[in-house]
Amino acid sequence: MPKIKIDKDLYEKVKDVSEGAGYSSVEEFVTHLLERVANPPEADDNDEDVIKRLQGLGYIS
Amino acid sequence: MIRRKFLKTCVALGFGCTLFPAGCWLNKGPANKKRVLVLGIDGMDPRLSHEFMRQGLLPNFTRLAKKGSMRSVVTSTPPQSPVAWSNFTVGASTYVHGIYDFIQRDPKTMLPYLSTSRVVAPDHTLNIGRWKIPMSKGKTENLREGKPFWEYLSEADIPTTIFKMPANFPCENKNVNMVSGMGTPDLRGGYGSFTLFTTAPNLFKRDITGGLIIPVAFQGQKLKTHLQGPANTLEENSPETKVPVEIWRDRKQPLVRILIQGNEFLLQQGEWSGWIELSFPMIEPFYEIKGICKLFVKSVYPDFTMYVSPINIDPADPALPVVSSQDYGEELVRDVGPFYTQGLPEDTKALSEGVLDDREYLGLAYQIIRERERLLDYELKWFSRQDTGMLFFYFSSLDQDTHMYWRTIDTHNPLYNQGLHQKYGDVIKKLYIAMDLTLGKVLDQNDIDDPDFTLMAMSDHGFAPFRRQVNVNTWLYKNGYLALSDEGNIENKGYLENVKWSRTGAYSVGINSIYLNLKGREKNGIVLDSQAKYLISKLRQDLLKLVDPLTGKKVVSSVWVVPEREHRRHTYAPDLIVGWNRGYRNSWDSILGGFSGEVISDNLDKWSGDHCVDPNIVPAVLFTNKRVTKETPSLCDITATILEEFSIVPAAEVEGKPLYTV
Repeated sequence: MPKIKIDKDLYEKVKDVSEGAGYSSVEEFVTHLLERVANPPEADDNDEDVIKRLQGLGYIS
Repeated sequence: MIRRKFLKTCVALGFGCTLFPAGCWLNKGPANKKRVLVLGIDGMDPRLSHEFMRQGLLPNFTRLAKKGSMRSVVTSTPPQSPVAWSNFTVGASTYVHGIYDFIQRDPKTMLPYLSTSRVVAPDHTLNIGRWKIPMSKGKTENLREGKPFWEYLSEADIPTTIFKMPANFPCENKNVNMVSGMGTPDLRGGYGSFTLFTTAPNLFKRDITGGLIIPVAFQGQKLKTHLQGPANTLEENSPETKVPVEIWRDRKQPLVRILIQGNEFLLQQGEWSGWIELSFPMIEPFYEIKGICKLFVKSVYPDFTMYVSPINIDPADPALPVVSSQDYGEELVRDVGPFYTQGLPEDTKALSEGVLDDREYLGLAYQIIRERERLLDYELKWFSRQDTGMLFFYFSSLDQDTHMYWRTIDTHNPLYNQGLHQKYGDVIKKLYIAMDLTLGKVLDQNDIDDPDFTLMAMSDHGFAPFRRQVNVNTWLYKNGYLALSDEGNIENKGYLENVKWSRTGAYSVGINSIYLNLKGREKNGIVLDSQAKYLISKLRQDLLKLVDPLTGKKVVSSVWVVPEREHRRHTYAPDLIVGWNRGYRNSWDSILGGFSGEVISDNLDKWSGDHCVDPNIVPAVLFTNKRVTKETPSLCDITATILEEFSIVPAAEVEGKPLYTV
């Protein structure tokens, strides 16, 4: 499995954050983070939401 | 950027502030001593102005016209406020700014959107437990292209305030004092979404637009409920935030005691509260979003009904860039108090839907005018301290209230009756008088004989009756330009949901726009480039032949074909712009892709005056303390004049010419 080097201070900060967020290890936290960044979620706007927002304008019913 | 601020820009509907690219500095240099003040009075009509001046009701406008000029001004095509004010903002037409209609559609997705700004969610979020933490900054983009005139002023170091310019959200230059205008959302992300708490929901329409009706029930004297806030985009599935509201009512006195987030106050039946500050928790206890709202107790007992205004973004702690800097927002709130930040504060939807009656709506309308007056007082003080400077200050009231009260003066309107006329027939006149008093304040504080002071009071368009509504999509269907998947369901109101795209050549979205279903551009396009020219020509001819069977009048007085060069620059541009004849407009259903049984029907909405018609029918107006020498002035010319007053040479894209020196 490939390994990545990071600065020691940064590692300590990441460790604190991962513990605070309830992750079982730094690896799990970093993997989760990178997965989210590499696979961004789709925008969740739909027709109904968009139309509901527009309907607040007096010009539109 | 501190973490809290970063979160704020990401969370509040998922956006942030974009910066303009570095501008050109050609005009940089010592500013001259000119001072320019522009009052933007949306919807002020030259004919009504003339008539009220003739009656002696507008002494200040008369004085200004006598000193300089009063002229009709060519408005934009189409004459919709976001288009017209964008013409003024960049001194050029749609080719430059690319705003064609209130509502445009993305041809790739076919989704409609407000033409002036777009929300871009953060690209990446990190899920920690139930929280979604944004890993990049989202943003709000102003979709108006071209260079606004205040950018030239900023580059020349001219102190400038732009107050509530329509189609100017977000505010993007910290060197210019700006409050964003029409197109600015409320905190729930809509363009004005009220809440009505009521024990008698059956008294109101079931399917209203523009707000929420929340049925409630008292337990004894006490009611516990929640006020819905923005969606918490930091939390999984973006649940709506809410704040608890507790209400006690007195059955003998028409009085309620209200408790919201530690603030407790008494309101009588028929009484408005002032602005109430609200905090919506996002990540408790670390992060919250601030909003402000007003309450109005319609009735206490036996039925309890309370209106809550749309929750406005707090200008002192803005979740979105509604002010150009937090310092400016705080300064305004410190001096004037909280104020409406949503684009159009007049709650026309509440009146149309019967949530507020005429008396209640007008009570609010005058509160809005008084609030705007206080803000103008503040800005006039600022302006008086400047040796050189520019102040643009905008009023929406005349436009929005003329939309709603045309039915009281138009004897051909289906809602007109003598009783209505007697009760409310002077509303529009009183609004013009209110604007005249405002102008009087400006005249009192400035010397209109000073050659270095330029004063302009301008509108973006005039007004026309809106008596009959035309469902363009139904017309397209009945004339073979559009096919339906289910022909038995002609009255489908859903957004283009019954359209059979494989057999559709054209469709309509927005108030004046028609689009071809063009192959390669539209998601399900079928019209070939080689067929487009013929189809456009045929559509234009057929529209111009459309006659109202009830009145025998032509429904469309002009149709503009959007030139190819505009499509090359703005791929989303419409193909045709319909110029409705006087008395007509696109139907309520058709604007958002709905259909109706009849092509033309009476407009039974209180929204009874309109300007989204043939621009020749609704010219704008300009009053100024200098003599206008240019023939047929346009909105773009006013922009060129402002730049000329400061000796600024604009870029070639500015189409206007100075009014005083041509």
